[in-house]
Amino acid sequence: MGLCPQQWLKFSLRIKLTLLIESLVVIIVVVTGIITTMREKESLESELRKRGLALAADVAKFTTSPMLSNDLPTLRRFVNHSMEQDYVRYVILLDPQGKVVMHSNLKEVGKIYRDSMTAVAMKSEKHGSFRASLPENGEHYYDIYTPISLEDARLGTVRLGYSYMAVEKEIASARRQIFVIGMITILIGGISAYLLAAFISLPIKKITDATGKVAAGDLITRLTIRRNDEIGILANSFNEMTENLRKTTISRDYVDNIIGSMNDTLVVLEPDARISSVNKATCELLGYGEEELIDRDMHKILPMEETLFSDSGFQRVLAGEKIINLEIDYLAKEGTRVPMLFSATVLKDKEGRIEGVVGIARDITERRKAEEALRQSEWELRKLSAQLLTAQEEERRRLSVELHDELGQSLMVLKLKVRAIQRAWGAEAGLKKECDAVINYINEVTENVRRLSRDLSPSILEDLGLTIAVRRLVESSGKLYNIDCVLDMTELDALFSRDQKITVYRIVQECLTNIAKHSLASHVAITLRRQEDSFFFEVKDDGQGFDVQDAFGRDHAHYGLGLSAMHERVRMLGGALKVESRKEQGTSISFTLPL
Amino acid sequence: MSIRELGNGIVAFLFFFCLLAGLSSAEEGGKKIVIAVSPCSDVVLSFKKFHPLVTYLQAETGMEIKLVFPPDAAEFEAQIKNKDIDFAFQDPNVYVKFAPLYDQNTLLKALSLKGGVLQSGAVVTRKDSNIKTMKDLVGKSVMFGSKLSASKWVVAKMLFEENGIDIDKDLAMYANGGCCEDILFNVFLKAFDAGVVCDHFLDEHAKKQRELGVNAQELHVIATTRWVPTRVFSARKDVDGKIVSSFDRALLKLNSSNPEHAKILYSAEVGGFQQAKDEDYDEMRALIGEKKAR
Repeated sequence: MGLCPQQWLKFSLRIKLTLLIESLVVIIVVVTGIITTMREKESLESELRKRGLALAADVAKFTTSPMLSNDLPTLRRFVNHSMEQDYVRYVILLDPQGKVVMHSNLKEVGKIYRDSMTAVAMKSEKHGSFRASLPENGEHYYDIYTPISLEDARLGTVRLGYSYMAVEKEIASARRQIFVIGMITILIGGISAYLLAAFISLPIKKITDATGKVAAGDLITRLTIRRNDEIGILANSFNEMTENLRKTTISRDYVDNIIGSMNDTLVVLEPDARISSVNKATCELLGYGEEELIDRDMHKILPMEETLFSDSGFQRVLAGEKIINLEIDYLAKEGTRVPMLFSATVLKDKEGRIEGVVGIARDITERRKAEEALRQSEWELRKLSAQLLTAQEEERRRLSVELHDELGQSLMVLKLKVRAIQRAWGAEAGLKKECDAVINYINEVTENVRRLSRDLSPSILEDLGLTIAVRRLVESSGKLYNIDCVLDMTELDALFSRDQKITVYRIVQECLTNIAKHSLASHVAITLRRQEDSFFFEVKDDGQGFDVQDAFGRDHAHYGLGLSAMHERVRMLGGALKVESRKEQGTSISFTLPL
Repeated sequence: MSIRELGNGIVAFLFFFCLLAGLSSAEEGGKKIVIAVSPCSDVVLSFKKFHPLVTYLQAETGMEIKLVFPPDAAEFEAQIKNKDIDFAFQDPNVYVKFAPLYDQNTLLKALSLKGGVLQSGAVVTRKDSNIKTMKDLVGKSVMFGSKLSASKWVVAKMLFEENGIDIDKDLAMYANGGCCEDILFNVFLKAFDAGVVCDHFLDEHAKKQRELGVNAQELHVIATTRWVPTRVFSARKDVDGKIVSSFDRALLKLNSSNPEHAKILYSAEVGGFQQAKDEDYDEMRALIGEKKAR
């Protein structure tokens, strides 16, 4: 058709189909026409020769008698009759010597022919033909010859000129017919091609238009093509696909909305660690546009030193290892680092094929700040607490000294005075007894004051050291609370500073006090041992135990200051208090300090 | 005679009457009328010539007609005597010979194309043959008409004799041909140096000449024979008179002014028919007798 590819591509499907089908029709028509014409020509030529031969044979047969009798008029009539046949150009009757006995042109009668065709014709015992053309007008014809024989005698030869015009006319007529039929066929073919193309292309165009609408976002579009063929199936499939897409899009939009609404960042990585998707929060947090992150290596947003996503790390995630709430840093566009709480898991499709890794991270900058503030606050609080404890210890010491020195002395003076009174006035029986009672009471008070002073600030600790102080404390508590106390203790004094010793002492003291108040224990094991480079402390009883969670879950108003103080003291020492207790199974309070 | 017997007799009579009538009509309806035509040696040509006339007669008479062309006098005689021929259309010399066998009251004579009752023969040669007179025919070849022909044979021979030519001795060869166009064709093709044809043929039968390719301009008449009567249409004596009458009426009805009749007449090379008497052919008888006497 002579069209360049670019021009061809511009045509619609209907036009293309029409042109293709029409081209096919034209080719078929042309080829059929050519083949038909050729076969018609062959057939006509064969038929022409046959007719000519038949005519010549008839002439030969019917001129046998007049040739024998030299009946020229009869021969003439045969020749005339033969000449009346269509396309006969001449009839020649020759005698065996080549003399013209009768001819369609009477002027030739009597002449002797010596040409090659005559020679061949006269010698031949069978019929035959030559192709020749008339000299006057160039018309093609067959020169058909056949012998005139009677028994074995050769009476002569018939030569009959049979025009090829018959074939030419028939061919021309056939060509005209074929041309007309071909034109009609091409016309009908063109119309049919157009209708067929329209039949095929129209629903395809509808599908194309509908697909365009779907591509533009109109998922309500539906096709109403009712056909029981592939196009009908395609239309139904399109409707199903669109409906599924609509549902998926709704779901996707819902998910997209969720993802878009997320405050947390979402990053999806390809198996090759390239970023395939990020959400809005990620872009806003890191200051990138989406296009700046998509298809970039993950180290665009992760520091290179982040080993989490080293080759082996990433492969582990791809293998199924989950990362949950790991604190890492993201790299913002301006180069700053953003602390994130990162979780990741492998992303797989329905068939279980790995599609990549999904990472969700939350900006914990504020949390870090809060933690820092909290740590600072804790530090300050602990500092304050330590200061308070220290102040408390100082106050206790002061009170102990005051009690011991002032109150104790005062009580001692009081006792002496009462004794003096007793001695002075002791002769009266009643008074002596009262004075004894007062002295006994003063002794009790003095003892209590001493004890109280001791409790407030065990001087033994300063005087004799922690080891002896703890031992004396355990012994006295055991006796006081009627609890079997077993002490396993190594030399402690060299391990701690003065303030630390007081703290350790207070911890032991508090433990024993709590046991006495709450545990109803009968047996207590106390361990204070140095273990290579650490110090191990444990107080374990067989008491009724308590709910540790409940105890620590109580609000501050109900939370015992004892445990709280212990926690703080242990923290001051650099350790962490560990409390283990179960109902009816006793309690264990322990900590370990690095030395 | 009882009524029953009378009735039976009437029925039998009627039966036989119908039978006879049927036989009669069957006899008449089934019989073909045979017409012999001479002299024409070419059956096909002769059939072509007389078929229109036969068709006309069949239509007029309601009879089925068959044409025959006896090749010679002997065959002609045999057919007449055997009653194989009902009618004959022949030259006067043939009529004269078989006159006693015909019904001489119903004779018809054919008119020439010009309406005459006489005909003659014409000796024709090629203009380029250098044969200008009868005497130039000595040593030449001549084609006469059929031996049944009066003008092209009987009086033609007389013409040669009158010009001192013994056809058996003085001619290189002679032959008896068929119809005039054949004779003319042979002369035209120089197969024969001269031929004897009907006197009107050269002038009046251009179509037949053209059919054979004869150019009459290349031929000329060098002599004509004496006049003889035209041809006779006669019926065999015991042919049913009604049939004869119907044929005669039909032939006499032919009129050359009528275009349809003219075609029929022209094809048969006659100008029409008129009634004839046997006496009309006494001259012919005398001529033949004169010839025999010689």
